[in-house]
Amino acid sequence: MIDRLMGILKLLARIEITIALALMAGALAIWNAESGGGNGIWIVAPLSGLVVNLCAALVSNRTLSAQPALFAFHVGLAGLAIAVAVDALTSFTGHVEVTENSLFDPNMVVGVARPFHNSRLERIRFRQKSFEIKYAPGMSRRDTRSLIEIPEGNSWREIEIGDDTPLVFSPYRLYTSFNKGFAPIVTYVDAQGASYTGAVHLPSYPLNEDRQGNVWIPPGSDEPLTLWLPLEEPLYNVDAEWRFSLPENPSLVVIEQGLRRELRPGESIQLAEGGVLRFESLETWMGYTVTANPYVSLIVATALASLASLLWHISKKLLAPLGAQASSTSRGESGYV
Amino acid sequence: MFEETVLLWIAAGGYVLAALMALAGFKRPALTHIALWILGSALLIHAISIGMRWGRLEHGPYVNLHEILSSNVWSLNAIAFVGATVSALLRRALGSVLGVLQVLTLWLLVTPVTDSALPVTYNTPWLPVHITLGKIFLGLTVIAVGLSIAVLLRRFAKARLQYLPDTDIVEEAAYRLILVAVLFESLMLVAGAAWARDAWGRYWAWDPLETWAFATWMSVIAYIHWRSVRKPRPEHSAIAIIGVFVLAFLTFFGIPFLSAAPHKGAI
Repeated sequence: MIDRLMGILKLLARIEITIALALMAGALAIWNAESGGGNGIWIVAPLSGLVVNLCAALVSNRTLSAQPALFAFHVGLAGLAIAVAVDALTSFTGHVEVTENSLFDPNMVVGVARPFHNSRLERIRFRQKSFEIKYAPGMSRRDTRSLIEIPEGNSWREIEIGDDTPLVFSPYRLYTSFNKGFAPIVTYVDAQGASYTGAVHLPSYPLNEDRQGNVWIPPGSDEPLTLWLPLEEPLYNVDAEWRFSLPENPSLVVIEQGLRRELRPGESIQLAEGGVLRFESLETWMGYTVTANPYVSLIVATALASLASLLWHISKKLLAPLGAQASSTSRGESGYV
Repeated sequence: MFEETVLLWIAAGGYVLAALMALAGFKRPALTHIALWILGSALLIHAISIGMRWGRLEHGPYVNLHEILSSNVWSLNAIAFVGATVSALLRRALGSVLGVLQVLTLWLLVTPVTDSALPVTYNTPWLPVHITLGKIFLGLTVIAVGLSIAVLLRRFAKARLQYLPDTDIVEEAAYRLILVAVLFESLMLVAGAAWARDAWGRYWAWDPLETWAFATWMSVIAYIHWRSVRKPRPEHSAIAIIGVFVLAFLTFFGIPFLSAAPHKGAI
């Protein structure tokens, strides 16, 4: 019975299986990256196979079990594969746009939550203040500095985040992204007198400088409005330094049922279905990427444990005099060194 | 900028001369000592050139192709220099190691010298750690390749390589260098993941450079397993080491300039 079990384990531990599973994991990982990151869960299957393969080798391979450092290294690798699989099942990746002088709204986060991700986005609380994005000549994006306010006791504290200085609300990390743009603030008063004020985010600028418009349906209405920010010329000079900034004297073009009307800040128009639309002001919005890897510390711990074991194993090998190995093991003989 | 370039060309000349001397050292070992002196001087001049550029641009040499080639030519020659200084075996094989490195020297000299701006996410303490570990990995691999070439050349020019130890010992030395190299490559991957987590909020995203770096790591691990279990002939082991180096070379000097992902050398 034990012999039969060992036979099965030796079969499961074959290096050919390791190579096939590693190639499968790599191919799935690349497919996931190419398809925008929504298919990462499938990598759990080959990783689980690799863990089984490695555990079978740890039990059935006497050469491995006879060398504590090498054994520990392979245990560490199995642990690392488990940790990566756990991460693939529990992580979160998304993005969000936050209007200047507005509170972060967790409902506006768009992303991919893994099956066992315990969403705690409501933990994130901050208010977007101003931000600064510098460009070097040639429209090469340089530093991004975003001022935000985070709650502290009964008040708010101002902090600065940026390119590699994230806002951390464990397990979430928010990084400023290359996305940012303009946001007309509009107030809509419906026929019954109810008033709604909000921001309509226009596409990222300057990436979409020729498409600074968006379609918006007022609350309770079924008539879409097209809002445009007319920009006669680029706000930047390609050959000079530039900072992302609002256009001077902005206006808002509202197109309703083919009728085009232009508003200055503070101006209103009567809409066909009875409501009133007022253009309050032009603000900006800042884009953030939102990531969460709740078990990343497990990955770090297993990776460091594996490396320490590898160092231990290699140092033992290096201490042996050069040439001793060549004379002690004949070619074709099986054995780890 | 003119002074930097002049110093770079003087250093490159020194590297080529040192390689020629070291190759001649296969027959007359005394020439290897002269090669080491020339190599040391070239490294010093090259370091001044890199330092001047670093001071002028206010960032290290790791953004555009010229900088990456220049810093790698320096670091790989420096590792070869240190190895040959402390080990008699590596000193005897210096000719084949420096011979390999001249490919990079020539590539550096035909690459346009242009200024670069440091991408914002490169401003992290993890980056120099990541890069240094990568350079040590590549340096150890280059020396292993030099030894492997010596193993292969022995079949055709045994008399010229008479001062080298037994072929089995040279091959085992190359294997040991790869063992140490895989440790540094593993550390490089971990430091890179820490940098990526700091800079972009993800530790691994399978961008082209990460994918090829992982493939390189897998190839080194596969070689170590194969060499340990099968005990191949020294010539076969030497060819496998050269194969690993080719993959590592493509990862270091090819992929960063072909990909459009954030993790690329030229932004």
